[in-house]
This record gives sequence, structure tokens and C-alpha cells, in this order.
Amino acid sequence: MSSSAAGNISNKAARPDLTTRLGPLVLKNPVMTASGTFGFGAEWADFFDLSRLGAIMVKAVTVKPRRGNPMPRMCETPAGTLNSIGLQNPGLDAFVAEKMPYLMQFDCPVIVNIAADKRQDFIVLAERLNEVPGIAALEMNVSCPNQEHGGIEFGVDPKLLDEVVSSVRPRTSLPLIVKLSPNVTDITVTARAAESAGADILSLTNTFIGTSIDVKKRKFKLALGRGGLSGPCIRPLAVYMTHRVASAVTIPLIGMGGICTADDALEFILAGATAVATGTINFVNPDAPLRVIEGIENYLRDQGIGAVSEIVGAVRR
Amino acid sequence: MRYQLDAPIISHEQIADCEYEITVEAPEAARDARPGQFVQVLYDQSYNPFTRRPFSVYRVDLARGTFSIVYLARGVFTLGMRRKRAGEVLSIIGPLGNSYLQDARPDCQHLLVAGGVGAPPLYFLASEMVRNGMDPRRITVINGARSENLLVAVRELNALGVDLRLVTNDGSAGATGLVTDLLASEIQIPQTYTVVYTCGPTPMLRAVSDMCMSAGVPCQVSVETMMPCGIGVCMGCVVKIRDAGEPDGFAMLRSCYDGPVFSAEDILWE
Repeated sequence: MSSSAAGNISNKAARPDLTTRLGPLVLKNPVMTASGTFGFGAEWADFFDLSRLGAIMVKAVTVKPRRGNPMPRMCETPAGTLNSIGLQNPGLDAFVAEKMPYLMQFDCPVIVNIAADKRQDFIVLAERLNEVPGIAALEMNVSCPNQEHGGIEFGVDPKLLDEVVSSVRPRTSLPLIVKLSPNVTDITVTARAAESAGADILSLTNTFIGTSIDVKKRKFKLALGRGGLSGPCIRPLAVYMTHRVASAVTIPLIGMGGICTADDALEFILAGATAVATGTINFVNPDAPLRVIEGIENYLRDQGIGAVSEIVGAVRR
Repeated sequence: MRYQLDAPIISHEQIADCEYEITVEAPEAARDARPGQFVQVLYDQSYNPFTRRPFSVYRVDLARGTFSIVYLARGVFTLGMRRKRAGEVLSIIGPLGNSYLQDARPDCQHLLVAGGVGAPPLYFLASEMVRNGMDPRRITVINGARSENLLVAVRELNALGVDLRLVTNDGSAGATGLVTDLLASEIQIPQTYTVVYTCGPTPMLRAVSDMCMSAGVPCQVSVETMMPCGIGVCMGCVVKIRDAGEPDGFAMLRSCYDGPVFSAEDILWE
């Protein structure tokens, strides 16, 4: 942007401050890419400079490599998709050796999403990644089935959630984000459990469990018979949950769930999220996160608001 | 280089029963596209349909900076895309994926086996081979469809001067039956051909792969899968690919990023 004609003063005044403070984590803008929708960044090399993002939340990393679930793993639904990918990823060692060096080239915080089906694996991930340079925060994916408790998700039972977050918390000095599952009766209960167990930040929401059936074949469209619903179809649900959680906890929130445009992101921010993440839209429009950043900046300028932090939770009845 | 752009539609024409060709202006994408590569297309931003769909690059015109895709209008997405008119734009991402590897040895005999709307990338391959100076008599194309009015690229393939064999299920054009019937009867793969390239419906790809493998002839297969993102991140298009270095001897590779072209001997069909 040229500043010569308008002069530095008016230009500076016109440029809203997008700096985002999520507890211990400071970002240049509030827009991230949600885990599982952005790979490990390298696939984006042709589309834009990753340094422009507020942060990257990489695909879930597990202790051992995972091949994922049988196909078909994904299907389209009205204004969304259902997926049961099954956390396909190269595993902790390959992530550290092969993916981190690439990500560290960029001036962009890297948030590593960690997933496990037993508590000990979460601890292994947290301890190991604590030693790896270049990681800005850990995000716990607590929506996996817990193999030690009959396959129930960690994230739907406040007691299990408290146990797993409490045991990970002392194992890392990195900011700890807990990604809440929306598949609960009252998300404020699990949000408070995660907060009291030591989470620094909450992200919400993960996908909503759903299914879709091919009526001609009389079969589920996904091999597993169910999947996680994401995309614009879940946005009103996720915005509502964000608003409820914002008044139930004191730690900052990262809002996500069907964000496609700056207005969508602003809904989450006004509902109480300090930062946001674009998810499924990244599959459709790889440049969506940039459009959201630009759109938030334009909105703030048009509204005469000096900083994005001023409108966090500013929704009125 | 992969581009995300709104490409002006130059023409949009019906070329067969329920089959249409859209030509767009996108000079960089046209220049970079290799045979077997595809583009992810979106014609509407209203989230319904929400995800893009992949279409193989068909005809490239470097002088005009255009390329085309072919689609069969039969689902929500393609029926909606049919409404797009010349002068409007099509959102494309591409070119994407890997491409067919052209065996450049001078004594090679190339066999291209196409089924239905699998013909466009193989036409692109044949046209590139001829453009690079290959004698078109070294290229045989088997082009099959259910009936004559569903065959694609017949005139264009004839214009290249390749040895074109048509086959239709109902005998309305060329031989009667399946492309594999023609492969089994007339075409003596191992005696005549040194390399096979194929694209079409999965049962056909599998049958062609099996025939090539038992004949000991290398076969490059462009797999047919759904591709929710097409850019290598959603992991919704994976195929089982033989890999001795992996547990159980296979890896789950992305057909959009590591493919769509794989060696027949590496594919573990499910």
C-alpha cells in the first residue's frame, strides 16, 4: 500500500489494529486455518504466503502414523460436508522431522493439533512437542474415542476431559488450547471443565456428528456410517455455542464452524471469540483466509473501530 | 504452478448426449497443464453445491490461452453448471495432480484406452505426443462408450491421424461390446504395444489394468475418485497404493495430489 499521497498520519489512523491476544499467544491478526483443512501448509505454497495468516493449525498429529478410515470417507451435504477421515497423518516423528522445518520458514505461529485415543499418548505428544522449536501452542483434539473408556469421546464427558487436560497441562510450557466437541447437551459444562483443568484457550467447535444415506443403494454414504459435519450449515450452531461459552469461562476463545467470509468471522467475534479459524471453506477457496482478514480490516475501517479487540463479544440484544 | 482464478467462459457447447464442453480463457493454467491433469471447478458461490468438482483438461490452445473441460450433465453439480453461458466466469483451481508419463523411446507403440468421459485427458495426451513430433501411427486409441451419441473426441482424434478404434456397448459405432472385449480380441497387447494409458470408469480401469499386467505391459491409470478439495488437504480421495516400505505393504495416497495417474501394478483395488 502506498502511503505517500494520503500522508502517513491519516493512513495510520485508517488502518485498524488486528493484533490478537489469546492469553499468552499474540497473533498479528485473528484469522487462522482450522486443523484438518490445511494439511501441513506445504499444499498452499502456490496460493499465498503463509506469513499472512494469524496462525496455522496443522492437521492432527498422533504418536504413531495413521492411515485413516476406509473409503468413502467424505460426502457432500447441503452447504457442508461429512467426513470420517480417521486422522490420517504421518505420526509424531515424521511431523517433527519433515513437516516442522517447512512450517518454520514462515513468520506465522504454528499451532499443533494433537490427537490420541488414550491419555498416555496425549502426554507423549505434549512432552515431545514441548522440546521442538517453532511451535507456538498445542491444540488438544478431544473428539477422538477414548480406548480406555469404551470408546466414548474424551470431549463429551466433563470428568474424562478434566482428567486428560489435567494430565497434559503440566507436561508442556506451551499455551494449551482445548478444542471442544459440540456433541454434548451443554457445552458450557465441558468448557468449564477444560478451563479448570488448565486450558489457556478454548477452540470451538469441532464437527457435529451426523450421517447421510444413499437411498438408491440403501447404504450410508460414509464407510463408517457416520462422520463429522462441517461447513456453513453448522455456523449458527457454532456461533450460538461460542456465545454461551464466552459468558461461562474467562479464558479466550477461537471460534470456528462454517466460516467462509469476513461477516461469518465477525459473527463469531461479536459472539465472544477473540480469534477465528476458517475450515471447510479452505477446500473450496484456498484464498478464503486472506479474504476474511481483508474483510475484517475493511469492516473495522468502515465502522470506525480502531482495533479488532474492541468488538470481541460486543453483540447486543 | 497451481492457480486459483475466475476464468472467462469463451464457449459452452453440447458435444454429445448430455455431454458438454466448456472452454475458458486462462493462459497460465493452459500453458502449465500436462495431459492427465485436472482443474477443480466451482460455478456458484451459494454453497449449494458446496465443494468443487474435478474435470480433466481436454483441449489446450496455447495461442488463444484457453483450455476446455468436458462433463456429463447428470447430477446436481453438472446440471447446474450447464446454465453457465459464454461471457460469464468459471472459478477454477489448477492445473492439479500429476500427469501421464510419455514414454519417449522412439520404437514405442502407445495404446490409449478411453471409456466415456475418460476420453478427454487421453485426447490431450495423444495431441501432445503428436505435437512433440511423434508419428501418429505409433498411437492407437480405443475409445468406448455405451452408444455412438455418447462418444467424445472422435473427430478430434481422427484429425490427429492416430489409429482410432471405436467400440460401443450397443454396436451403434465401431465394434460391439466393451473396450476390454476389443482389447481381448483384436488388440494383441504384448506383441504390439509397449505402454498403455487409460482413463474411464473404475470397473473398466480395473479390467484394463489386469489385462496389461497379465500381458506384462506397463499401464498408467488415471483413477476415478471423488475429490472434495483436489489440492491435497482433505484426505477424502485416497487410494491404496503398494509400498513395500509401509506396514502391510501399502500406503493411502491422495489421488488428487500424488495421482490421479498411478501405475496399474501399484494400485490395490478395493
